[in-house]
Amino acid sequence: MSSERDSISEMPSNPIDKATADRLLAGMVSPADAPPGYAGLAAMIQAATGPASPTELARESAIVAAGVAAVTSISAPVAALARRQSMLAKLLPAKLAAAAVVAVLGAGTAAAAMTGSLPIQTSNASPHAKTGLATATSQLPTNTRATIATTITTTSASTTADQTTTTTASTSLTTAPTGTGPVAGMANGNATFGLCTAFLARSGGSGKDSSTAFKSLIAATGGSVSATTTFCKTYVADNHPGRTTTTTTAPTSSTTATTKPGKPASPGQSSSHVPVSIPSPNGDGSH
Amino acid sequence: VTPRVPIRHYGASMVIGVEFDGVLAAAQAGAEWAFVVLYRDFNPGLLRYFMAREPAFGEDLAAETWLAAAPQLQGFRGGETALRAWLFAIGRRRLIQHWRDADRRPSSPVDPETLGDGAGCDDTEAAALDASTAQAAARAIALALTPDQADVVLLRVLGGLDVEQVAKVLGKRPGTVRVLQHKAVRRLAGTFSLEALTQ
Repeated sequence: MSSERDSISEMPSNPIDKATADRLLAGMVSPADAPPGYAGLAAMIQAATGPASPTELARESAIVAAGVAAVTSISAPVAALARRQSMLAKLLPAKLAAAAVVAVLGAGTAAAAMTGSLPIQTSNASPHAKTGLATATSQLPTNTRATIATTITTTSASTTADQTTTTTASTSLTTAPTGTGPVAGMANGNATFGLCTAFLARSGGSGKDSSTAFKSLIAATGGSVSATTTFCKTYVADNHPGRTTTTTTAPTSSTTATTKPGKPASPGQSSSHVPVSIPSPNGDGSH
Repeated sequence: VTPRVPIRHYGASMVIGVEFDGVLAAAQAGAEWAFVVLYRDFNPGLLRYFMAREPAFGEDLAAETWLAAAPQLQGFRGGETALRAWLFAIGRRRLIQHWRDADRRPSSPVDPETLGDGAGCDDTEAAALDASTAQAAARAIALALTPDQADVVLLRVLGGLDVEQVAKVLGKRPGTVRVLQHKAVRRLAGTFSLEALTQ
């Protein structure tokens, strides 16, 4: 990967000082304000730090439940849970049991059960549970992770169905100066630019992995890799931040680009709420 | 009563801010709403990091990181950025362990021919598109760099970490991280330049 990219790295781009590089990587430099030669990178960083999507929070219910259970189980009596986890550990292969119990009953005590060091006294629970979980997760083989994933998905299925999470459509960052507009279904032109940039960079590099975004991009732009490549080259050329400085509006309304670190998110962006119904973390009789 | 927790837009610049101490204390006490806030703030960046470095296992690695972090949360002391660095440090260890388990095998590449048979952009896919776009961008950044450079840039961009924090997570000296960052930024500027993309 690196050797074939060396020629690119030698391309003349104006060096930037440390402070500018820091601001660029912190997402504090918009493409319009980027130094010459760095507008494309600034756009990519903006694309990579775009708003969270519901798909990126899909395991919220399960993870939150596991987190609450892990914390509360450390500071609560665990004797009742211990008996049930010991039974589980006998009935199932040890690692599978650990994976399942971690997701369902709570991480800390479950992992301790697997290691055979489950403490009965509350005062001893915390360090053992912590060590136990770290040990358990580190010992899980790759194929066991599928079990975790499946278990988490199953656990969260009933609750995620009620989620009302929505994505607030991003404000369009770029006014396209020509006829090549954003791809249908894309939230804004900046996303199209970022995706096209990623697609073109990927086509020329060693990365051949597929993604939903690439598939959708291809479907929306002609149905073939070559057609999409042509579209993206045209789109990037027409909408590149470094080229359209006179016709491109600065992303002043961006929800991600212009807020400085240290400031909380502006209120009123999105206010959807997630009703979360989680099994009792201390449920000593429900499992 | 389920507290109302707004969806926050992710980005290095989007943080919990002044509310953080209260959120952390509540999470350490086992408050569900506080875990929701932490998860929504940190998971997108964490997930994008893993999807950039190991796409086939990104979701699982993010979940494992939370499961490994939760039992240790009560012992954590520090501010929001420190928690972010702490979480990424745990995640980084999970990633390294994953590679050890897999004998450092890279993820299996996908035949580019299969890219052409994608489905159309219906509403469901459109909802997933923004996330995939962000992940594709992060992945493109990683692919343009050496692994060390990618880690530095991704931890800075997605984790919002400073050089010292990145150095700590990666077990390198800050000066080394600075050098890696300098080379990475130059390389990325060339990779994503107008000339490189349209030639």
